[in-house]
Amino acid sequence: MSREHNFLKHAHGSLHPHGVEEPPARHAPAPLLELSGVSSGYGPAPAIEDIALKIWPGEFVAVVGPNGGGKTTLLRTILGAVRPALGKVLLRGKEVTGAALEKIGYVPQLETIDWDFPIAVEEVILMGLYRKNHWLRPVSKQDRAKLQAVMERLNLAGLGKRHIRELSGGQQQAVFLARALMGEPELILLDEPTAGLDIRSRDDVIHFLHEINHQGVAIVITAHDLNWVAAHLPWAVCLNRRVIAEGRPQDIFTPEVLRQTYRGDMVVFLHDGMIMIGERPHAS
Amino acid sequence: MTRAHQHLLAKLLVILLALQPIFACRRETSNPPTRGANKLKVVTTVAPITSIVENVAGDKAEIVGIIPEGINSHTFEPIPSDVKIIAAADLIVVNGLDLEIPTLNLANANKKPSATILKLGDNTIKESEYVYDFSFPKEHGHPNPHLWLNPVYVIRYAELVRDKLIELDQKNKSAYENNAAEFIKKLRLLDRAIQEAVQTIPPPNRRLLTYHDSWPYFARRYGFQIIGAVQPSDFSDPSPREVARLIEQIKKEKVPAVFGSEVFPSPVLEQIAREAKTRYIDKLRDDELPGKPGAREHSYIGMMVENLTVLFEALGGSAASLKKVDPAPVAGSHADYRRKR
Amino acid sequence: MMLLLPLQYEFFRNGLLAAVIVGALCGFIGVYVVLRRMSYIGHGLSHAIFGGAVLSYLIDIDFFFGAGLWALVCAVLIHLISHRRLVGADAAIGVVTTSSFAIGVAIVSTYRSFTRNIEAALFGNILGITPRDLWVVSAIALVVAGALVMIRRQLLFSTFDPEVAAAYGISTGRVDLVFVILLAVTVLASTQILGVTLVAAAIVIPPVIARYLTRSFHALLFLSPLLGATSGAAGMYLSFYLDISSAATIVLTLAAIFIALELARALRRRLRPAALSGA
Repeated sequence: MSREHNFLKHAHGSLHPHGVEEPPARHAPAPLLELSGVSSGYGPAPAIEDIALKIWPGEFVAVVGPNGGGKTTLLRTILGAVRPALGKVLLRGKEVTGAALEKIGYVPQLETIDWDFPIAVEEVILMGLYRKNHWLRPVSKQDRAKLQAVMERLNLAGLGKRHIRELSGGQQQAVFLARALMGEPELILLDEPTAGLDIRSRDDVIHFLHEINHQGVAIVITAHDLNWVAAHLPWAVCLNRRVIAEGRPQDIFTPEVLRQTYRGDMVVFLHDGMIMIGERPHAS
Repeated sequence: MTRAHQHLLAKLLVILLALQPIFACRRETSNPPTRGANKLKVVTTVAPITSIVENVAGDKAEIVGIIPEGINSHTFEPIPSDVKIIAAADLIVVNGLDLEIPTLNLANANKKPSATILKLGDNTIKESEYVYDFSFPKEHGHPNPHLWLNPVYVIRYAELVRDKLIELDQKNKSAYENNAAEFIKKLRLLDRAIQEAVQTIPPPNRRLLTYHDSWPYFARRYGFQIIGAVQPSDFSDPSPREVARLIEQIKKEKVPAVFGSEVFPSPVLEQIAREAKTRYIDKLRDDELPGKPGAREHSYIGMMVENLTVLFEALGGSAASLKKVDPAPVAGSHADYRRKR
Repeated sequence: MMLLLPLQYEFFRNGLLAAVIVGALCGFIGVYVVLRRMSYIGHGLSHAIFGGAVLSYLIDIDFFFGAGLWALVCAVLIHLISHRRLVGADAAIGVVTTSSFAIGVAIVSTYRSFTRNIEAALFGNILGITPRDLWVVSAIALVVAGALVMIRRQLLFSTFDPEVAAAYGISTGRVDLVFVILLAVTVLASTQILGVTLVAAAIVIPPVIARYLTRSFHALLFLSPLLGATSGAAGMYLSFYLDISSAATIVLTLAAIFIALELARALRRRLRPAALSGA
């Protein structure tokens, strides 16, 4: 089945496409993470409402949607940092608690980091081990070896003693990803991993995210750039308080879905087999 | 306390005003004076001054000492109920020489227009006789105000009080004159007894190291040398070199004892005594009277006798001659010392 | 020889030891205080302790016990108020500590037969340190430093990015509470030595200087206490030779290092463009 065919079929199809070709991960016996009927948020009105979502082992999913649409709240709810007002978050069938959390890594938006904090690269990465290192236990040889391995995996070898500010944007993202990897998670959540990065750094980021994903770690990211998502990721969720649509980008990035998600007009077209999304020009 | 802290305390007075009703009940006087409608109302400050006025006035005036005993008079901050007392006063008697600046400020702001302020110290010695020293350096401009530890100056104090009382209250003239004469006689006795007692102290021991520098006028009269004081002008601690100097001096001159104040325990002075291997005696009081109000020894003379007994015996002398002076106020105890039970 | 001269005095030896211990302790905890942007709290707590000092004099219990208990209460109050998020931590600290200071002043002024030396609480007592004081301060320093080492990982994580630390399962609230209590105890011990007015400087200046010298967190954790201890010792010696009050000299030593580094930086910044244009 060609991409073009698929897109054409679903560009005018239903918002919740069924029976489409799913990524291989979706055929695993049980979902890694399951949200059912989840409402959550800080104030009286929930930021996300009635969310039903399954993340499968080894999956790579982008959550897209407008600012204030609840993307970060969704991530924080999965992490257990925000308790859902309604519904359940299950990790491998169990509710997310302290023990289950060890399986989830989290990478915050780089903007939230205090870049003046006097801290070196490896000091940040070693934070990821804090759960295993009780107060008496110094950093062991195995920990060091693991640190080296993770840093090599993310092309950070030799940068351990540098201050975090001295790195490129892609490397900075890699540092925080490395911290998440130290706990050997089954799932990593990244909040806007490409925000504020130049094209080169974005390429780096998607490159190492894919690599980690191929090694079996499920990844959920939030993202703004729909074209970037469509070009690189196999699965997307459109979120604006509720799940508007879920599926392969080329299937769900339809003018109708995007209008509902962003409350704005967009054009979607195919170019050399790639879908392109843009704002609809006003004057014509 | 530094000026900055005094300033801070002044600001916090506002908070105290708010708290006043809570504490007011505790501040009821424990020893209410006999209330006479047309008695002269006299406000005094520290307890020795109150006692001097009490000796002269007897029961002919209503006397309230607003600085409670044992409080640091240099930094005493009056509170609102003090204002009421000051506002009712006909005469305000202070030591002066900048001892009670906050109280004096309060008095100037709140006294009756007709009320007089009598500054005893300022009218007793000339500027050329002012002592400036360690705790009261000349740069600060405030001379050492502790004149009352010299009984000869207290004679002058008594005369000043007598004259002012007579000026304001003619009808009790003879009582004031008789009381003052009696009191002055006792002060002369005290002066002679002190001189006698000093003779029993070995001359090399006639050296004083005290925490609070309140003894220079006493020292000048009775031939003592002030080695130093530990509490410098800003009421913090001395510098380490000064401490080392004092230790060396005490060792060299073999001073048998150094003296702390009951009001201000000084770990530094204690340490100096320990290192110089001399005795540390923390029993001196320069503005607190011994015993309870109403007791015989609760008077200026009682305070002097007790202080000097401690002092002289520690320095290897005898205080026997002091026992001969009767400490009781000449016309009985009548003043309100506003002391807590 | 010059360095040995003052050591013949016990008061100097005790003071030197106390200055080194307190300097190191303040420098250590100061790293976290500065990075958590809690500098104001050190200042506030030292004033709050004044209230506790007065109260413990009043009911005649031991200073360390009475004021310590009081400091803990203040620390917990600050913690509770600032975590309600209704007011910022700085406002919470302001409210709790100034009212605690005011309670001290109120008691001094109402309880008229108050016969204790408040100045010692305000200005510290570095030259009159008894062996017992030294033991208490050493014990406090050991306990606080030990506790900081115990919770170092949680503390670093929750200091660096509290949100993520919470997401990693660190109970950041509890870490904050433990930290503010440790800080209160530190301030208590240091107040006895340096005085209310100078403790904040001893906590804040060493880590600020150390930050100029390193960009590694762990190096900071060694450098800052080292600076605190060294300037404690240097300050004591300077105060002996220059004949100035000791606690003030310690703080001024720190301030001088800070100013020197700041000037050096400014000078380098000024020289660099010139060097470039010359090249």
